[in-house]
Amino acid sequence: MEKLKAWLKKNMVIVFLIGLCIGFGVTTDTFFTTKNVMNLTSQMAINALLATGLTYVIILGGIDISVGSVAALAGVFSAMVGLLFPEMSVFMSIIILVVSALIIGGVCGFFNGIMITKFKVVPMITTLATMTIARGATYIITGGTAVFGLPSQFSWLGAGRLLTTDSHPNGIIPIITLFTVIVVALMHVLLSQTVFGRHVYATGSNLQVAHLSGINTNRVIMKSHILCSIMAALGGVLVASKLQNGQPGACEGYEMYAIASTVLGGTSLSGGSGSVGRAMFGVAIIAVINNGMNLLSISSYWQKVVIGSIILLAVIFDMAQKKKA
Amino acid sequence: MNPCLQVKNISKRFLGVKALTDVSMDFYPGEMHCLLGENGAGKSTLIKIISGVYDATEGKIIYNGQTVSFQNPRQALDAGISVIHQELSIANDLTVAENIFLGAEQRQDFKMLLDRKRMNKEAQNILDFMKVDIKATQIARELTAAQQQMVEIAKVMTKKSKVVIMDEPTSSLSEHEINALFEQIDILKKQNVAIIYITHRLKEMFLMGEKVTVLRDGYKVDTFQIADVTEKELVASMVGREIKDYYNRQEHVAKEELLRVEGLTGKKGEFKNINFVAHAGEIVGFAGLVGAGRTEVMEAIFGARPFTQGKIYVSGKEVSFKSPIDAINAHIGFVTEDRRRTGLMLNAMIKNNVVLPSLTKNCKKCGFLNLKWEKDVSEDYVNKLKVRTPGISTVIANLSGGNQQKVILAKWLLADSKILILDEPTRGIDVNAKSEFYALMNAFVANGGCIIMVSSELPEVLGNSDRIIVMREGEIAGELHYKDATEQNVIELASLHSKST
Repeated sequence: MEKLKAWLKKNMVIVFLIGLCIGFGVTTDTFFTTKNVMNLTSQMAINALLATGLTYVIILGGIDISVGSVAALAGVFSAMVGLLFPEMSVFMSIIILVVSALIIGGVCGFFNGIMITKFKVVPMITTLATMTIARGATYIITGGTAVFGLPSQFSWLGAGRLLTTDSHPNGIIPIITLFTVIVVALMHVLLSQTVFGRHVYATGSNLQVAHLSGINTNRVIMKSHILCSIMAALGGVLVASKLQNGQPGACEGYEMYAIASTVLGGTSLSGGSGSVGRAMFGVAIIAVINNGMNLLSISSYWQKVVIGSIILLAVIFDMAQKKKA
Repeated sequence: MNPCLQVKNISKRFLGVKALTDVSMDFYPGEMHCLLGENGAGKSTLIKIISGVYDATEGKIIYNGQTVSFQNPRQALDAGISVIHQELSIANDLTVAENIFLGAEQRQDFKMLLDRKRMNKEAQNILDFMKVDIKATQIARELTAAQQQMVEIAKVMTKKSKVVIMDEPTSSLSEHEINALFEQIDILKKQNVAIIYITHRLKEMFLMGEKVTVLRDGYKVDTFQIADVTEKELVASMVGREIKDYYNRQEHVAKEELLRVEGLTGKKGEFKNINFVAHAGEIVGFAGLVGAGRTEVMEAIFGARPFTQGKIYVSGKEVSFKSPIDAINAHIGFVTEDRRRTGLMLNAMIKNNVVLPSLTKNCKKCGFLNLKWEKDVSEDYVNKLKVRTPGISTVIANLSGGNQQKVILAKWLLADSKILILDEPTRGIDVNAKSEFYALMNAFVANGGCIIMVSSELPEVLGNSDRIIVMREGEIAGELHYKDATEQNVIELASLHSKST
């Protein structure tokens, strides 16, 4: 009994998620249909990638608010590269998307990392600048209009589905979900099972101690920011792939959802603790609320108010639990 | 005379753990009442209950003849109970006067605006009354640790507190700064303030105190009149047995040279022309006043502070460390003076702290953590060093200072250190833990290790070192063999201003 109580306290976010699902399951007929559940997972995918990268920098005690803009830049970049290969195969499209993400994510993350480690600009300001610059660059390279005219193969990764059946002629499992699950799982293992991951926690927990224990803290911060931007860029190319075009205005405000998910998942903004796996519960909560309220046809304006309030309540509740312990 | 503060049958439990059991004490105005006990004996819990941080599970507090129950520190403060914490609560960017009046700012008549002039004047009056050389308009950051402490005391004086609790106020002060503090304590006593004083230094107690209460494992052992008790009796009642060989001096045999420093000079002049040698199998003590540049020299040797001139040799080979990584690879370990700030990841588990510098070397499988190794070596060291903990997965913030220090030692032993730099290794840890720590140091040098120990506690330096190097204002003032060293001549070297010595 005591153990169960302790478990519940620690894992309120899971209980809350299950409660939400049951709630929407009861109030709607459509929540637990295969179609909706699969939609739900594909809606989670982008935010899941952004939140995964953010988990790294937030554990470091930093923040990255440029993820939405970096995603948009990577999205239009991949679309423009895609235009050069009108005859691309599905395999080729995956290469284009992933390499675009690596390039844009790598460059943006490197820039953030250099600013933070070499020039000692605080992460909030660094990434605020990157957010603005990347968004500007997105409009500059597209001339402010969407990038159209991509072949349908381009959308395999973002919109394709596997397992076609009679009742589901378009397939059941979204490829974007599979892709995201694999990437997130790898990133979870990197953080929780490797020396690098441990160094991320150590640096976030106490930078001076980490430095005096022989950890190259600047390198850890640099790598984490590169990873974070690459995750954001992957999210961005998936959006482009899903829409089969590149929108310069895409992913606006996604950073806020990603930060909220990470915090809902229990990662402390003061650094030193958190996990990719738990951030996914935060991602799921936000996706379920959005999805459920759509099913209940609640206006999207109200959805924002509700999500904001729930984030606050969850954090207040979490703090109260921690204080008691 | 009536007591101004009484605690009656106080008990406190945390989640089933008993921190205090049935403790009763009386505190009288104008008296310094010392609290003595090992870490974990319940001293901190008791003062937190008195000052309104915790509620007592049982028992009551009677203040000025009335039963009180403070809901928070603010209420206790307003009622006249002040606490000066070990970690000072000074706002670095405010002026001295602003700090003194923090939370009790004076306003101009009928206006919302601050009356800076009046605050500065009143603060200066108090500082002058205390005869300390601090200006009310100075920014707190510019003050030394000792001066900041004086500001804390000035704060207490403006509040006209009836009870002042001091938690190890001298732990970061040098000898002559301690004397300055004691003068202020005398002033407080003359104003009929009751002082509750926590320290591990028996000497201070005998010099300044009237009464001492010994706590052990949350129980009150006894209250003594300081005039009627000996140091030995106190130590015995504190640990429940007599400690015979407190320092347990062992003869060390110095072997081959491990570290040589030549002409080391800091970038900002923190230290100048430092020359010394340290051998395997010996403990070299660094004595000096706080601010003499000892810590800075150690940081430079460890690659954590740049220097402009000088050479460092490890085992006869010249080295140039760009960062602590290089020093660790050359088998140097550094136990820093402030374990909370630069020694530990406080919210991490014991095992995570122990393995931190050794991870890269010991997890060769593509960078994956070797969790079994982490568990095995941590358990091994926790047993070897007798760290008192429920297990290696305990969060280190929950351990006492002495046990935390042992974990830091374990971390450097595991990293295969041959040269250990210990900066104030026993600061804020109790007698028993100290003597255990000294035994570990002796074992380390007996195995061919070399220890360089910076300490501001003279008995510690004199009791453990084979050679004592004394620093003064960034330079080496002299070196003494332990047989020639006395408190007298070390203090002279450390504080005399003439360079003729």
